[in-house]
Amino acid sequence: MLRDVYIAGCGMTGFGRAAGDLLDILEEAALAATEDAGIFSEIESVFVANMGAGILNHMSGLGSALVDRLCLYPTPAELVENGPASGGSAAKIGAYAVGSGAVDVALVVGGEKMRAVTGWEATDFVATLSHPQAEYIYGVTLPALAGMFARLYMEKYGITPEHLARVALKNHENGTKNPYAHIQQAVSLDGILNRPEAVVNNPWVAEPLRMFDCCPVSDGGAGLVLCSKEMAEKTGKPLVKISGIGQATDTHAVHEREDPIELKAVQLAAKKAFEEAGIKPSDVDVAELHDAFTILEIAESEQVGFFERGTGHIALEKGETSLGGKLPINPSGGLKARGHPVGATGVAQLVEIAWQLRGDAGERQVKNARTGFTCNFGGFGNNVLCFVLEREN
Amino acid sequence: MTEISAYTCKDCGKRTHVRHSHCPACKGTSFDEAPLSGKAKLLTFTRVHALSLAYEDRHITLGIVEFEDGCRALGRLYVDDPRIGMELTAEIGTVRVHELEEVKGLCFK
Amino acid sequence: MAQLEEVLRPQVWEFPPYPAKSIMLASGETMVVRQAKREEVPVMLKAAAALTHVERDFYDIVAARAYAELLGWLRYRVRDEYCLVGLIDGLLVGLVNGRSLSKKVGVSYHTIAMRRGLRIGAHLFASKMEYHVEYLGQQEVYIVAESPIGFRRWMIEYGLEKRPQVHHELGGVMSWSLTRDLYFAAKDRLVVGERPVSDELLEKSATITVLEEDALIQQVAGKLK
Ligand SMILES: CC(C)(COP(=O)(O)OP(=O)(O)OC[C@H]1O[C@@H](n2cnc3c(N)ncnc32)[C@H](O)[C@@H]1OP(=O)(O)O)[C@@H](O)C(=O)NCCC(=O)NCCS
Ligand SMILES: [Zn+2]
Repeated sequence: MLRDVYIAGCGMTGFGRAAGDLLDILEEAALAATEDAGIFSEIESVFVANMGAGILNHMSGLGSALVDRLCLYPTPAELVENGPASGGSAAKIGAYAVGSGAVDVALVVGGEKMRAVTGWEATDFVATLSHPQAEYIYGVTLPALAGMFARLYMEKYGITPEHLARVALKNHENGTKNPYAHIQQAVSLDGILNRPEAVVNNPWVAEPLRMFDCCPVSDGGAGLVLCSKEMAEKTGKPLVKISGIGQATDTHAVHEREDPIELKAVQLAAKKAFEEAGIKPSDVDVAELHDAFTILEIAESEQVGFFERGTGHIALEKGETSLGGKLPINPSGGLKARGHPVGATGVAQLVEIAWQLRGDAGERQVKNARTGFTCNFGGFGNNVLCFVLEREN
Repeated sequence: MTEISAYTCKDCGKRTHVRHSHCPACKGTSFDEAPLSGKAKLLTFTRVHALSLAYEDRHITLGIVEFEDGCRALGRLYVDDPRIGMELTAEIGTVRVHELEEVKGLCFK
Repeated sequence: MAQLEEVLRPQVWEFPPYPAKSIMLASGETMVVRQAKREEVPVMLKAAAALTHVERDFYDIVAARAYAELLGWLRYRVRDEYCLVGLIDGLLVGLVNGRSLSKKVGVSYHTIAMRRGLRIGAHLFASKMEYHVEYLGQQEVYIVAESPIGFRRWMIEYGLEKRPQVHHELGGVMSWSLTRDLYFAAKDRLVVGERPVSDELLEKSATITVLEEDALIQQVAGKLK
């Protein structure tokens, strides 16, 4: 990038089930971010992230719709769609717009209203990102792809159902400290795994994954105001810089990957983000990983470079990734507990990290966090974005 | 009977079930198309319980297989006790009903 | 007047009681499922009344109908009705009701979960089926539902059979049936809980309490903004 890009403002809606429509969600997220920044009429470009309004809400042209709601015209606006990584993509494009010098201020808003349809329809909607002839027609779901991945990953590295449950335990616990989280309810190992009642409490979704191994289906939105250093300094807030962005793609159909447990797009996107920031994974103080499924938090924590391959579950077990541990992962509750309104997630991850670096994360604040990382996983790993954020002052 | 195709790269011989304009191995651009059939080895599988509205089954089983010629595919499994590495035979069957139309796909027994 | 009342009151079948059980929930909390006594109906009416204006997931219809059924039981206008409650430290977190049509056939009325995300509805519905089949010894239970989502889930999970010729008393909608065979085929997956319940836990569940109206609505409707 030609110049540095900063997060001048950020905010989000409470995730879960929204009373309003998608446009209300986008509006609320946009206002939360712009009010936080104290920047509004200076916005020169708007990027809206959303995956499924065409299918779920019978809406299109969301960029123009949001600009109209905010009366920001004639500001340029567009919709960015990249599956569950739409949020990361919109943030990247917004950052490139500012970083190239094309604009000084960009507004990035991600939002999704998934609860407009039944759970079965939501399952089908998410599955539309799979390969139409080689996956979708078979009734593939995202949990199914994750289940097949989990079976191999668990077998290879000795990961047990208890390790997976511990990801849920940690993230649900973190979620109770996040007023924006969809699920603010702690769970117990006995209740979801060890006791006979667990067969009902925690039913199979796609074996070996159970309900508490999956993110819920959520509504919600998140927003960011991205700008140049001069503009960011005027906000009077701690300076949070986007110091590295990496993105990579992989095969559409999961079975075309030579080794289906290699998340190559994750590895490459992370590598590029770290290189661009000029830091090492071990420099990171806090991370938001895309735990749409518990196994993914473990796998990503290894494949982005935080832990040696095959040791992510051990770090988890030792509490290294808990709040108070060496590298807290998903202090927000992650997708598991904060929820996963697909188009909003990538933006929400950046919002959480910005809060953490500014010291605004309340009860879940990671002490002295100065360097943060996000991984937003689209498709089943076929389009991944990673970001490194750093606090400057 | 409907057939499910696989593509063989004329340059390097790589077989894929998914159609590409360029070969994933050598970037070649010409392919032979032929039906995908025969014996295959199970690489991984899952029994899916949370299904889309298109299914009224309590669960279905899906798996990824590798055919003897190296071609990979995902399909529906009809085996009671699937095990990684087991040998399966491909058949064509109905895998989904979409707007009253039966969609044919790979079924492994 | 007393004589007239006698004519209106249904005859009562002294049916076998439902033995209390305890279930550990995902949160680690223990829910006691026990049979409610007729004297306890007023406190349940309070909870049902609070939910009659929650449109989400058809809570309004379900709560209004359950209110009428429970009131009918209290005032002797429904025959052979029962109610099972889910209690955490005495606090009402859900209830299910139904009645016996005959010694052989049961009718399922309603299921109300008052906390979300802990599968309380699934546990209580299963307890109700357990009661009809295992304790009342019935051959089948007729089921209809107002909430399409809850219903489709039960239809798929239990593999219910259609009973188009049966007019369920909740209106003309399609009736379904859970037969003994279907019940026993599903039991291992769907019916859990421990018996007997310790005296200490029973003691804690002896008096039913309910949340205040606002708190209860908030708990089922969520943080709708
Ligand atoms: C796991 C799953 C099948 C459960 O769905 P369900 O049984 O239909 O759940 P319901 O929608 O009836 O939820 C009932 C309650 O259970 C809880 N709940 C739902 N899913 C949950 C989950 N995965 N973990 C914990 N609690 C959950 C919530 O509290 C919910 O209450 P709410 O309606 O107030 O939000 C569903 O959440 C799912 O499909 N998740 C995966 C989504 C996905 O693939 N996303 C894309 C990934 S890239
Ligand atoms: Zn080739």
